Amino acid sequence: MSRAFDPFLGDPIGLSQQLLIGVVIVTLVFSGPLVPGLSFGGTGPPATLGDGNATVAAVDVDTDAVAVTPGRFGTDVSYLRIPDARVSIDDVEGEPRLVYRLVVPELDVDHAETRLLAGPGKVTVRLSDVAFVPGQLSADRYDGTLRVRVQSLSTDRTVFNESVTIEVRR
Amino acid sequence: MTRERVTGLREWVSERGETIRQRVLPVLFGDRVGLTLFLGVLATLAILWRVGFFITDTYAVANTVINLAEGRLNVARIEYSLTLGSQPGLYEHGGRVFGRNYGQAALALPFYWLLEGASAIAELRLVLAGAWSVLVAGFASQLGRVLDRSRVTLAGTLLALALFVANVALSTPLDPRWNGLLALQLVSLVAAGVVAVAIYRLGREFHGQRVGVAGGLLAALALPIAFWATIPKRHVMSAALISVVVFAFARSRNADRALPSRALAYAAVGVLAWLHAAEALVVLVMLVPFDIATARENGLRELVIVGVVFVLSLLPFAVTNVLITGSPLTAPRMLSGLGGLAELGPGGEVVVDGGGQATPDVPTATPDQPTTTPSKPVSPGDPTSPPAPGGNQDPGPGLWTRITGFVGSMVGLVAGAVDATIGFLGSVVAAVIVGIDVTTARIGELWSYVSRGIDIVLGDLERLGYVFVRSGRTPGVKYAINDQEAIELAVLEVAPVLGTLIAIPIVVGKRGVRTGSDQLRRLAATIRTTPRYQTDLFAGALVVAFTLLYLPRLPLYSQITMRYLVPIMPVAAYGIMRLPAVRRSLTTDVRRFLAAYFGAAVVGIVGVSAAFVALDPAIGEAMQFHALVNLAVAGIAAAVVVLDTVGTRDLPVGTAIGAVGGAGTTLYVLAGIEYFTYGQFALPVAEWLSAVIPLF
Repeated sequence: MSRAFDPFLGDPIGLSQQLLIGVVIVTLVFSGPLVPGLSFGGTGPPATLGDGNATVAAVDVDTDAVAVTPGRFGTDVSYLRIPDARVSIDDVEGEPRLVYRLVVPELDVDHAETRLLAGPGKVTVRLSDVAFVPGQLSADRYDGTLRVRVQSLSTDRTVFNESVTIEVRR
Repeated sequence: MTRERVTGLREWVSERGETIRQRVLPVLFGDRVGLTLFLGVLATLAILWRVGFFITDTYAVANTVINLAEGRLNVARIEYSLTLGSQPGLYEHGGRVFGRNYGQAALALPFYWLLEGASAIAELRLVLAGAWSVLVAGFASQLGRVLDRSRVTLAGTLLALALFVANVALSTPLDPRWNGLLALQLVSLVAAGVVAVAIYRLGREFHGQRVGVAGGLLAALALPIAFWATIPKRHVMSAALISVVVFAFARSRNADRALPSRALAYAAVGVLAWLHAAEALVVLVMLVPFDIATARENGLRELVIVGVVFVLSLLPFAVTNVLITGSPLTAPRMLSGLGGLAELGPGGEVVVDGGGQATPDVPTATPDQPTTTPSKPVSPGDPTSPPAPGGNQDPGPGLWTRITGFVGSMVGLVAGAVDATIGFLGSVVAAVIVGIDVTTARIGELWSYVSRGIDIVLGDLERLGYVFVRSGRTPGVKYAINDQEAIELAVLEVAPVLGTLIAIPIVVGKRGVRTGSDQLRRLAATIRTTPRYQTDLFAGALVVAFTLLYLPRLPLYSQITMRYLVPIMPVAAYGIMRLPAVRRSLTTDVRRFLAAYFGAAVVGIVGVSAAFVALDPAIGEAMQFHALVNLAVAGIAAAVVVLDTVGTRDLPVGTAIGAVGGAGTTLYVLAGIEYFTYGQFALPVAEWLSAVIPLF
């Protein structure tokens, strides 16, 4: 193979390959117990719930969008569509989480999604739609409650709580 | 050390490396293109790698790996799981609990030890990230040589470096307790690479590199192989072994030295038996008559060598069976299921109630137990953290304890194996006699499945349609376990590229017309002398037999991609390469195919993501959307191939095949990154990508 040869850089491919191997080996050695006191990683969101709290500036949920509509693309079920919750977080201490929950007692629906909080900013919590087989829905509308809570081992605060009327569109 | 010595050593190493490369490369990969394909497939599919349990029966196999590594075949310690009763795939014999798919578990051991060793000295997450970056750089280096563009190598290596830095920056610690599962996933991932290489070499054998590359690429990335590659079910490994059987069959008819390839075909069947005895039996039943009928030589020497290799390849299977069930041909899968017999002790050890009633009632050579339920792939409700093992969480043994423990356990395992081998050889004569008996009985049972399959083909077109063409909400499938989501797709929906096989009857018909009926008698002679036709017949018969075997069980829940049929899909992809229209187009200009494939995949992934932001679908709707798109693209591609075959030449067949392949890949990339959320990604950059795409 004809390698690009540059009198200034020498063999750039060989250099880059040696650089990669070197960086990987050095990083791995430093990440392990052989070199104590130094560690890599752990900059992601906290892996588990802990103590803490968060200040919520605003919660935006399109409550009108909660409805039951027919499934598309041949799924042959009806879906209870749940809009995303967009939450603006001002401040985070510790490792709290957001809980976004829809309860519809008549349908036996208690659907929740949690999201660990890493820092201030906008957070979107998505709740997956709930499927119902034909015949499962007898009424034309159902009553439900949408809630958003800030939760940690030391706190549990409701920051959004609204009743919704869920229309069944056939 | 002096400078000369260092230089001398370096030269020696590089010479040795060159020799190894020259000898090993052709044997394993055929040529450099095969190696490039292998590395590329592995590097790509690793992006979709999630560390977690997608289907509940993976628990049993992953626990088998852990127990095997500790030197015992029975499952005495549960590393992964919530409760024992929720683990399908465990069996009871003589008061002890056993797993299944021992072939898969045993092949996972080298990876397990490698991971154990690496995670003892470095952070496991970074080990995976580093290995991946080296893999990417290796792929770039080989690709650069294949294309003779050194810039490709340089850019790829720098990209690999950047990806490593990004992975380190985004990394979170990964618990080495996952090593058992990770090892199983690595076996499956490598198997996906083997599928690509086997199909590539199969295509190259008859029609050259270009056709081979297209076939290998499609087999690994445009078929559900891509979906299951890092979900360690047995299907990808089955697919790899069956692809090897077909490749070896073809090569042993086509190459100068027939015997090694011929033996390889049988050896692959032997390994397949270790993984899943019933599938191996089907392959064997098809292989033997086709092989004997079409082999160049059936001398005593050939048959003895092939037979000896086959028996040797069956040894691991037989030894495992002797150790577990006492009979070389009774696989653990044929034992009675564990059910609620066992409990978890306080230390995570397994306690069997009412054990000792050894009841190997040898029910049937059932293709599979329908006990598989996806571990809620569609409800990302609960944050899936590693399930806590029942037991105390001490920080784990040190490296030295691990090494001594490992050596001790290996001595135990080897001693046991030697013991069993002696016992096995003693009973081998009896076993052959009984074995033929048992095998005949099993073949009878398999035939009952096949004949029911034939009944379905002849009498139940609707069911056939649900299995092969269009799923939607398939009647009779238990959707309740998947929260009523229609995620069970049909064959054509998950493997749209196979739709082009509809041209086969036209190709055959055209040839029949051209040859004329008076020359029909010559057909037999032509087949006898043409390795291509021999392989066509074998591959076709294998696909049909395998499909008929599983058809009585389909459609079934928890299949997602009709996974029971996944092992023969790459062999079906061989059929695509054999279509004259496809072959002609690929040989003329393979670049068009490649451009269409990669273009369609990129456009598909971006386009579908954008469409879903607007449509906001539920998971079932998302899968059915892909199903409809794939069916439409499959229809167009099939039409192009058929028209080109019928007579209108110069249609863009390569482009059509590439585009339909890209549509399949789109489904698997998005399903892996977005739709089925469980566990955590092995690579932090994939986790980041999944969070960036604003779906689900």
